[in-house]
Amino acid sequence: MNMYYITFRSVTTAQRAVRALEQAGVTSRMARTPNELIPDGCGYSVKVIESRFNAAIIILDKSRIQYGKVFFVMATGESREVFI
Amino acid sequence: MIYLDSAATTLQKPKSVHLAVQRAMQTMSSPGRGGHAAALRAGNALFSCREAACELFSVDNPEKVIFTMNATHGLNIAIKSLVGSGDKVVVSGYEHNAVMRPLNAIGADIVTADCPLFCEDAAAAAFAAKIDSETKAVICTHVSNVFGFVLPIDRIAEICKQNNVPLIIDASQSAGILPVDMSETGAAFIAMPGHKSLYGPQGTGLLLCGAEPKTLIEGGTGSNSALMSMPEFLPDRLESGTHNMPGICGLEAGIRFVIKQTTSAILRHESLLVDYAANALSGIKGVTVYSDTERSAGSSVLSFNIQDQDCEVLASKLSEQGYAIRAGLHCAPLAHKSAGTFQSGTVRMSVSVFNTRTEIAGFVKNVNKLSI
Repeated sequence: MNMYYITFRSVTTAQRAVRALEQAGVTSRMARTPNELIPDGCGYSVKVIESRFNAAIIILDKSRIQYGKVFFVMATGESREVFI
Repeated sequence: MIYLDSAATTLQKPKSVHLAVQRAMQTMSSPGRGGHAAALRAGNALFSCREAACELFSVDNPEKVIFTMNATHGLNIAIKSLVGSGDKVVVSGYEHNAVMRPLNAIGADIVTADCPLFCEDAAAAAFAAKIDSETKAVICTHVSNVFGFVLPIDRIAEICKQNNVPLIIDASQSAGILPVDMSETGAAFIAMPGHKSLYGPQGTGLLLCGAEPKTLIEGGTGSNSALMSMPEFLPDRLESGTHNMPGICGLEAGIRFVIKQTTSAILRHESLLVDYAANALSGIKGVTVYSDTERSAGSSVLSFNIQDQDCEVLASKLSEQGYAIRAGLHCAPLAHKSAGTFQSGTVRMSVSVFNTRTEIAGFVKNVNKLSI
């Protein structure tokens, strides 16, 4: 399944994001960010399925939860950065 | 044993705290490090505790809730973030060594806002008189750990706001009993232990951050690991190394216990016990009770002395009778100097939500026997 990885600077911010999305009815999961996607090493992402991505970004912006880079990761494993 | 030393640490904890500690030890690994279930479980537990603290202390963002080892740790971070050598700081006359020793070590210019015991108006006026454009920070205990004197922290916070001076609040004796409100006070930092009236395990504390902190220690945070400097963002900036997961899980259970009981109910219960003790002890010949005779204690701490009896010897005798109390200077020599008890020290009893009127009655009876 294609997923969006929304990266965060800290695990706590990622947790805030999961909470905000949950409260708004968007299912998400926290996971370690794949190493190749982050230059500074070690971080957490919130994974959202493709169809819920737009809603997720709107919710995070509304909640003023700062996120980092966003990546679209295909089921094949290929990834590309997404610019919002 | 009748435990009356909750100002040092609460011994009796809610059952939920014990269970939470045990669960953490059995199921949680290091948070913010791995992506496996045990790590994520730990991470979620940390976040849940931050949320509980936000609820109890009116903090707008869980990222501003920092886990510390105790209030002393938090106060050191706060003080060393704001104060440098030679900087003028204004403190109350009732501060604990957790405030005074770091200030002394830094070489701060310490100005004391002196006031008599239990005089809130005098306390507020003293702060207003001492704070000026040169003041780098104000540090104030919310409740004296020796005398239970509740300082007018809201008024002092207002004076600080008017003068644009950051305020550090030592909530060691108030967190879990009195309202401690980050948003109302606009404090730069509020430090508290987890193991007193929040009923968490020893080795826990919270620092609520309203201002930019400096690091006290540096190390691994599980974030930005390729960089050699500590993250700029909270909470990571102040939380390097592995968290005390059993402690923090127990702390969350304690906070939720307090939220469920409500601080107003806890305060009512505890201050009634202290008022009862103060009135009863005052009636014993030779006993000096350090309390406000005009109104309720409004806290859970009470100090007293018996004429011509060494306070430590008295405490020892009471301990032999089964009463756990503390005597001496209580790590707060400044408080004793302000109250005139520096030479003698005092015997201090301090209650928790688990103490009863029957226990206090028995305590008073034993003090009476020893006074003869």
